Amino acid sequence: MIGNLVLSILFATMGSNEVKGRVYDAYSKEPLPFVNIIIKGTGIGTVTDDKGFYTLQVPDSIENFDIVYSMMGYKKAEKRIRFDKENSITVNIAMRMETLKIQGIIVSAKRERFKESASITPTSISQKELKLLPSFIESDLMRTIEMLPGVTKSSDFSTDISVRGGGPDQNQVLIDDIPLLNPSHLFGLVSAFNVNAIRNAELLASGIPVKHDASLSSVLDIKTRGVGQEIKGLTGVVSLSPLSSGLTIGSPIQSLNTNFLLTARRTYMDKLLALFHTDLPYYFYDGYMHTETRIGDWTAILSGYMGKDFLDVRDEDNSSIKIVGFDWGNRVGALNLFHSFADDGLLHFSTGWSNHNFNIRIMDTLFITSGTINVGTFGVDYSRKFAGHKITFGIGENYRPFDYESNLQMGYNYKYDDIWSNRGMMYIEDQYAPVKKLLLRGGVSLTHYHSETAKVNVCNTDVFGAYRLATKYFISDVLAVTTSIGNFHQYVVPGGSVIMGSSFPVYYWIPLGGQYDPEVAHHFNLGCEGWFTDKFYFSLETYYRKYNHLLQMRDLENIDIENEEVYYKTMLESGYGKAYGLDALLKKEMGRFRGWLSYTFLNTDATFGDYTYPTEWDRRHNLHLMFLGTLPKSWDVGAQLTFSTGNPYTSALARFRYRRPSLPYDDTDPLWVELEGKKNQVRYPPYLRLDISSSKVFYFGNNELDLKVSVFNVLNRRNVFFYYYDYDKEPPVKKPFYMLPIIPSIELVYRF
Amino acid sequence: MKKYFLVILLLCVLFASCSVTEAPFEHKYVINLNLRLPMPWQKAYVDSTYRLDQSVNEELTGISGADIFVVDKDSNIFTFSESETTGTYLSDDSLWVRPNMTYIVNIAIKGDTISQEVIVPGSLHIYTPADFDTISLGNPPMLIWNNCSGCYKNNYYINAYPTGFADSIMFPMATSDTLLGIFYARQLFQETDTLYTVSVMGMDEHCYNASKAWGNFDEIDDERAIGVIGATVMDTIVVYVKE
Repeated sequence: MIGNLVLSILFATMGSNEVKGRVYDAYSKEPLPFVNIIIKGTGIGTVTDDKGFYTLQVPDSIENFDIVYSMMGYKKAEKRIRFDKENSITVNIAMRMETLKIQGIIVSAKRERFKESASITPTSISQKELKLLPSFIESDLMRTIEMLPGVTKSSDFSTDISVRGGGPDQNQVLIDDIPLLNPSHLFGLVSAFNVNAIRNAELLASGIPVKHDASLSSVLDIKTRGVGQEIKGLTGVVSLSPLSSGLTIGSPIQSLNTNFLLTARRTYMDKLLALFHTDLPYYFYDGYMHTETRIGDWTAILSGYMGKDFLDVRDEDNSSIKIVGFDWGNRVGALNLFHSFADDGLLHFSTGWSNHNFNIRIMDTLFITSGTINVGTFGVDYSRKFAGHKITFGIGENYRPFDYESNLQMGYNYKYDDIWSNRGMMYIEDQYAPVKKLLLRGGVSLTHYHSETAKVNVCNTDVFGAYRLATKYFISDVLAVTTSIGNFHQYVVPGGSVIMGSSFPVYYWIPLGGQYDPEVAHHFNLGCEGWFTDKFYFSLETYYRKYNHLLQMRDLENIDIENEEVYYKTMLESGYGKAYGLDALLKKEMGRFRGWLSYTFLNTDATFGDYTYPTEWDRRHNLHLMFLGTLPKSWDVGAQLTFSTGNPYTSALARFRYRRPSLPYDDTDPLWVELEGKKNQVRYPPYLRLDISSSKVFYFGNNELDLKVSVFNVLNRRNVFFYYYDYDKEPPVKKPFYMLPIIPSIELVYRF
Repeated sequence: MKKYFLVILLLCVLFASCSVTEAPFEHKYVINLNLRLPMPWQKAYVDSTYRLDQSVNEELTGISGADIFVVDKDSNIFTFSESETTGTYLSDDSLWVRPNMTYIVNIAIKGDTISQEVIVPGSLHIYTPADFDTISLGNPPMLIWNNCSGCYKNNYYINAYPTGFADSIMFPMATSDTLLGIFYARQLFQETDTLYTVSVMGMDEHCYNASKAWGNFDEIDDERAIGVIGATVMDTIVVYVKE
């Protein structure tokens, strides 16, 4: 500690040279964060940042030396450096995995990260894990994230997740630092994230940095991937699954110091069935773009996403008549600029635009609704390490225009086309180690929020403060205790279309204004993490979340719809809630048999009016077992098991004959209707699901063919999605509607 | 190995112990009594909830022996008598419901008396088109009516159906205006060269709340009963619709 301080002071007062560059995985070409970099035989060193970049300061007195790059799970790499005239050398390094099993699991909870992070190390999922774990039809990021501790969900039919009791809308999804709204295809059944385009995904559920203050529950931070400069020529992936076909191509452009990666996929069943004169009126496509350019000390990452779903059901007799037309999708563009300074500082500039849009048309013009939500984002932050501190400060700007229109032929017409909100924030955060065994991180932010909904005569301007504090006390090199607290705000809420706990692919996101203050939550976390041996990582964290202010859409019958203004002012009701629980993770990261076992205890409830009830996400006990193994002859096997308490639901108590008062005559035949009990007072039977997979890589020279066979719900367990009553029989028969049955799938991936 | 089995067994018991999958039956009276203007006779339906697992003959639903009487502000009492259909009650007097009048509706069932105040909205009258007009879908007129006082939130429900087929109506149109281009809705008039009944309906607060979406089933201010006690006003025309 004192030595490093002395060296820091020395560098500040003396001239120094620098070695900088980036470290990659030799197989995937993905940048490697938290790689230890040290000048051999000295105590001088650094680590790569989360983009794989590093800058190493070298005193003038050292001219010839070796740099050692090391990271758990990778072979050490050494590079001989000699300074002649120049005082800055760029060295990019590709590291190879130690096990030589290039399709093996990547280490995700690394000790370097353990030492660097002041809170429980966020669990990240790498592209390789995504490829090896069992798939639902094809590899899906969200289907793997649901196996992490603290994550619960309500059904197989949706990729929506709940993190520590918060609703899916309370998770902010960032793709290359730009918010992505409603990221799903196939009515929520599969997520919008093509695993071939993703470098890394990290779920932040505790110790969330103060720069994230736009969601109450968690941040899902997704980074798209590029290719390394070391690649020669074109590289790519051709993939085929029962769901979609895809193509990924990428290449460095050495002359421009640039590389690019393009990824696209599309469902093909509609085209295939058309050959057999069968009409499938649905398809989706999505595409990713990622380019990285190095110009001097600057690195520019330009990335984008575009996805669209189409449902087009037409009249069998007259194809010009549209029975149901439904399309929705997202477009995201992001530009991230990084500049590393000689003083170990890093400037990060990010800007981008995200768009979510949907159009629904029923019976041509009988019912038409459309919506467009945009998010313009701009942010700058600067971070620098010195004397045991790592200070980050920055500003962020978030502009959201909304545009909704609904037309019911011969009925109500609503148009909200002049709604926008603006959120500007500034923040500062410091991570500091006052003594060797203690790491502190604290930050504060100020957010200026303004919303305008001119058409409904409400606007709002206010300033909100947020704070975060995290501590980590190292009991030993392999064991630490952590605490973290903070407050969180959310400025937009979903206005509808949440059906049976599963979000529909379109949300009417509503900016909060007028009498609606932003939602507020407080997080309190206490945990520990470490290693039993070199092989087993564990984390244990208890949490308590107080939701001081929550907003939810009222039941439709309680909303006044006489005009837009009244509708807006009556559509939300406020309440409060809480969640507490425990997340435990035991993970084996290396060896032939790897995986994790996670357990989550969750108790979450919400109070609206004078009634407190468990939320739809309140699966009290959740057990996940994830297993990956390497068998002889290069076969890999995977399995994931989920066993959890059933979700709460609202049960019918009785039935009665119902007469609609809006019909002109009340002697029309009444209908049987169920009288519902109090909300979410009973539970479905426990949920159990086992998925398995097996994969093998076949080598053809420098090319590879991955074959992966997965079986979703191999036990064909009939998990209940909901109950309904069949009135064709008397008395009516209570019938379960089951979630997904056993679904086998084969994926082929050809890499060149 | 025994240890693992014990742990798994314990977890199974733990997880299953959180599963409450059945809710108890809840008995309530079910009442539908809407004072309908300008209907000559008023109807009331008195029933109860039924167990979901209990077989029920629909023909025999309803509660007999209820004592129903409505009192106006002048203390005039209007009584109901049970019809031949169990649970259905008809007013003994005709044409007694007046616009803008306040009534207290009382239903006594087996010793329980349910009471609720009802204010009947003002009259509703369709101006255009006139009764028995011929409507050409090629050049359709607007449907225009008056703004009735007391119609909650000035909200109106419009129904159009082939005359004599009221049972086919499921979802009416709704508007807070006093005119609607209903005859532009081509889908509503798939059968042409026939008579259609068109009605415009306004409601008091209870009926309005019960009418939205699938309805608030409980619009009675008494824990012992669900259903709706309220008032509606309506005007109806019959038009001949041609292409």
